[in-house]
Order: sequence, then C-alpha cells, then structure tokens
Amino acid sequence: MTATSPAGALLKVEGVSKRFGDSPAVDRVDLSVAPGELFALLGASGSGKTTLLRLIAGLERPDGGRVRIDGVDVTERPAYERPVNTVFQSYALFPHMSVRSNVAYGLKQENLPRNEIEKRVAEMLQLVQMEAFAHRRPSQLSGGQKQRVAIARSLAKRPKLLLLDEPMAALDRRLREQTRLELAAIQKRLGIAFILVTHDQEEAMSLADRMAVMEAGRIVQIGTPREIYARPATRSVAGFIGDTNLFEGRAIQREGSYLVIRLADGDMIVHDDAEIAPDTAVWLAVRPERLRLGAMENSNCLEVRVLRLEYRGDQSILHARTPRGAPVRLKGDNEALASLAPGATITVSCAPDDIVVLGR
Amino acid sequence: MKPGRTDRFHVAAIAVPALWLGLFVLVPFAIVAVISLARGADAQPPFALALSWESYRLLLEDILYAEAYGNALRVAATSSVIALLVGYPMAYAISIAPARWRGVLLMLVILPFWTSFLVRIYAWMALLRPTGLINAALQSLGLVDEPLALINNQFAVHLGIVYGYLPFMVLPLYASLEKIDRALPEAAADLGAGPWRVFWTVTLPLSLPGVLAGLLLVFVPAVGEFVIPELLGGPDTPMIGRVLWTEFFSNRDWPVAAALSVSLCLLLVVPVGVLQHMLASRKQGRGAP
Repeated sequence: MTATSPAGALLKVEGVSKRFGDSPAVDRVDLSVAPGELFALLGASGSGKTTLLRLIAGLERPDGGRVRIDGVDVTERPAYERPVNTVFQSYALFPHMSVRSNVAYGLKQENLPRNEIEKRVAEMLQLVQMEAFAHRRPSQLSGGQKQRVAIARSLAKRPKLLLLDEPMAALDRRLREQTRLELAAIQKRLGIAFILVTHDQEEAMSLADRMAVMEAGRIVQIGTPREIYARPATRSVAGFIGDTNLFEGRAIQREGSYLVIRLADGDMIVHDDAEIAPDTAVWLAVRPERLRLGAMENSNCLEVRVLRLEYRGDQSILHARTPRGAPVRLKGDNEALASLAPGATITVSCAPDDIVVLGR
Repeated sequence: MKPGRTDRFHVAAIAVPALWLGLFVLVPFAIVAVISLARGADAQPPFALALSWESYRLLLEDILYAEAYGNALRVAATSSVIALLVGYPMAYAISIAPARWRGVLLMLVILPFWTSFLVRIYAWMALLRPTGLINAALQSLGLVDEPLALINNQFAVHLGIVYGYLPFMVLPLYASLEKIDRALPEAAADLGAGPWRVFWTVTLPLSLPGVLAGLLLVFVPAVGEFVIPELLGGPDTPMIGRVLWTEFFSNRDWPVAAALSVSLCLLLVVPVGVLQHMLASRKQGRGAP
C-alpha cells in the first residue's frame, strides 16, 4: 500500500526499515504528512508505530530508506539536529529541574537571549494553563499536569512537526477525553503538524485528519478516519478499527458492479467496484450498526438466533448466531431491541452498499 | 497477626543489629575513649585510668599530628577525586552496555576482592620498585637510563588508594546511573542538546547521589588507611594511620594513640554527616508527590 503524497509534504518517509536483531520493527514504510496536519499512527503494541516515530525523531537510525523534513534529507542527522520535537510516553520531564527550567531547556540550547527565553516560556505555560506551577518540580505534579508541561516543553521551540508517543496512555479515562479536545485545539491554533502514536482507535478517529494503521512493522492502510472505518482494507484493519461482523465466503458471480458471494448461510449480493474475480475466497465485513432488524427491500437477509442482549446505555448490542454458527452482532436502539428474547429466531438484513469485500 | 506478636518481631529484628553494633562498635569506641583520657604508665597494659586531657593537649601542641591529619585528608581527597575521574567512565560504560553484559562487567569490577587486599598491594610493590617489572621493562626497552622513582612516594600512595578503592566508587555510581530513565537523555537530545550538553545538564546532575556516595566510600577509609602508605609510601609524608600505628606499637603510648583515633573519628563524622544531610535533602526535594 502506498501513501498518498500531498503536494509540498512537510515530512516524507521513504522506504524506511529498522530491524532489532532478527525481527523487523519497521518494514519498508512510506509516509508523508502535510503541514498543519494531525496524523495518527494506529496499531497494536509491537506493530512498530513507536519505532517509526523514533526514526522520524532521530532517536533510532534506519537500516534503510530516507527521512525528509521540509525537503531536507535528515536521515543522517542525530536527534538534536532535527527540527522536530517529541512528547514522550513517560513525559520524560527532567526531575532535577523546575517546570520553568524544563520548558526553557530546548530554548537554552538555541542560545536565545534571556528575556526572549523568559517570554517564550511564559507563553507556553499560559498555553497549557500551568503558569501557577512554574516553580514546582515534576514530582510535585499530577499525571495530567506533567503531560501539559511535556507538551509545553516540546512546543517551546516552535517545531513544524510535533511527535506524540501515546500522550494519553498514562491518564485516566475522563482526563483523557478532556485532554484530547485540548490537544486538538492547541494543534489547530498553532497550525503545527502532529504525528500521534496511539493504540486507541477511538482517540485516532476523533483527532486525526488522516491516519495510518500499522501491523507487523508495515503500514496496511492510510486514509481519513471515515475512509478507513467505512472501507477497511484488510480483515485485521476491519477488526481493529471499531467492531465488525466477518463472514467467510466465495465470490461466485459478477453482475456489473455487483458481486454474488456464497456464504455457508446462503448467498449475499454486495456492491463492489474492486476487481474481484468470481471463484475467489473472500471475507465480508459488516459493521454492527449497519445491520437492520427485519427484512428490507433490496437487502440481504440472514436468519439468526438471539443469544443475548448487551445494554450499553446509549444503545444496545444484540448478540446472535447464524444457523451455521457464525457470530453476528447488531447495534441498535434500546427500545427496538428490548423485546427480543434469547432463543428467538429473527431476520436481520443489510444493504449491498454496507458490506465491504475483503480479500483473504 | 496479633499486634503483640508483630511488636515482638520488630523488637527482635532491631535487637540483632543493635546488639552487634553495641558490642563491636560502641563498646570498643567507649574503651578507646576511656583510654584516651587515661595517663601513660609503666604497667601492663601501659596506662593508668584517669580523667586527663593531657593526650589531647599533646595532639594540639605537636605540629607532627596536625601535619599527619592534613596529609591524610589531602591524600584521601585527591585520591577520591582521581577515583571519581577513573570510575565515572567505567560506571557509565557499564550502565549503557547491553543488559546481558552488565552482570559480567560488574563482576569484573568486583573480581579483585577475591584476592587478599594485602597480597594485591605487595603485587604493586613488585611492579613499582626500582628493580620491579615496570622499571625493568622500561630500561630494557631503552626508554629510561635510571629506574624511575615509582614507589615510596606520594604517587604510589595515590595509585594504591585509587586501585584499592575503585570498586567502592564504581558500584554506587553505576547504581545511580542505571536508575536514570533512558528517556531523559533522549528528551534532552530531542530538544537540541548535543551529547556533551546532555551529559552536563542531565546525566551528571542525576547521578550526583552516586558521585557523593562514591566519594564518601573512598574518602572515609582512605583517611585512616595504614597498609598502603606503609608499604607504598615514603617517609616524607606521614599519614595519620601510620602515626597511630607508631604511637601504639612502637611508642606504646596508648592514651595518645587512643586520642588520635577518637579525634580522627570526630573529624570524619562531621563531613560525612554534612554529606548525608545533603543526600537526604535532595531525596526529600524529589520524593514529594
């Protein structure tokens, strides 16, 4: 899969690889990020997303490939000579320095005049609302406050690109959602491109302009959150981004842009422009919220047996099973689902457009 | 567990080290303190119990003792600093070595302890003396005509102390370097600091507890060191350990020897106390939530 390259890319990663011992951590990755873009790198732990971030920061040297920032090849440059800054997962605040000195650290390396440094530090502390804590040591701060200081410190040098390694991982859930919004606001206000590494698909989807899904050191799909959610490229992406029903089948016949797929539980007609030839083994993916109760016109129908109902507050999820044993999940209104008793046999349906065909 | 039993366990746990310290540190020190106040006498043992400050007055009056203290403090101080300069790169290298090598490297640092300290100092004598290995090699290579004066001088004493006490420097340094979060030097580099700046502004300040502990562990025993100045040192700069030995065994002046060791103790307790206080207050500054 190749990256779409926006014109005038700020960051270009070209065929970058990195091995640790025998295992490839990052495997021939291509990527480009536009100025001012909020880009998310999403993947399970061990997928290579943090290593890719470290390669961009200059904290690891690639075994192959090039990294260009603002048109300049920085592959051979160490971290301290690259115009990017990083928010580390552990925040990595200097424990022997005050909040103020932490934020000033990067500016001091540039030998800026003292009053300029003071002005910028004050600006940054105001940006993250930490002015009152300027004289504290990091050990006297809460997790959320440490994160704010880490962000202020990395933004103080006004980088064109900020790298964030799981910045929310150490925060509790409520704080995480609040911080997410603040982070997006800061990003839009400063117009700095962010690359956000995360394993939280919700976080990636709610924040990112575009995102890349990584798996085993490779990028398996790049696109906007909407594109990736609606049209996952592989079975694993479909499973990783949100919940999905998967059915194993075989394409048996093509009628224009429609394809007939034979499943164990019957045939389904799907809308598909891809060049999938008849007699190919495929997987069908259907989002739980795309399944409807009852038979609909021009839709595929499935007979399922109700197993149980899961109440989620805003919605409910129906867990069911086809006669041949494939699990099915349907997301819908609490009222509509409430009347369904376990053991009942019902019909569910989905439109040909709501089914994604995935190769094996 | 019942509170009574926990209490008894606590008392027992504290009693053992307390008893040990009492029997083998406090009681002997008290005996030495008592002797230091006694008068010399032609007796067996050679003193008569009294309450006299005579010995201490002698220490203050005779410039020899002050000089010996001064020498001991100076030699111990320069040796600790040299040990720090030698030990820091070693400890740093071990701390950044691949994990599977660290244990081996640390073992190599401790390895000399498997041989008796005295034997190792004798080995240095064999190496350093005018007819020793080093001079023989230099002469046979034609690099020097006369044997170099490598032994029975200050150089040899420093060498011996640095050699003998280096592990006490390396181990605490390693312990504090190893504790530094790897992300911290990376964050400094990410913010634009080159390798030297990273070292001066992040690594070194964060390893200061190890530096202080290492200096202390070398300095304190080096001040009272007897074997090294006796075997490797010259007659020109007596250190307090040798003076103490002479007073006790040659002059058989037990009260003066006792007064010497009591004042040496007090002289060391003060700087050690100051250092401990510094370490404790650093920890407190960092430990708060």
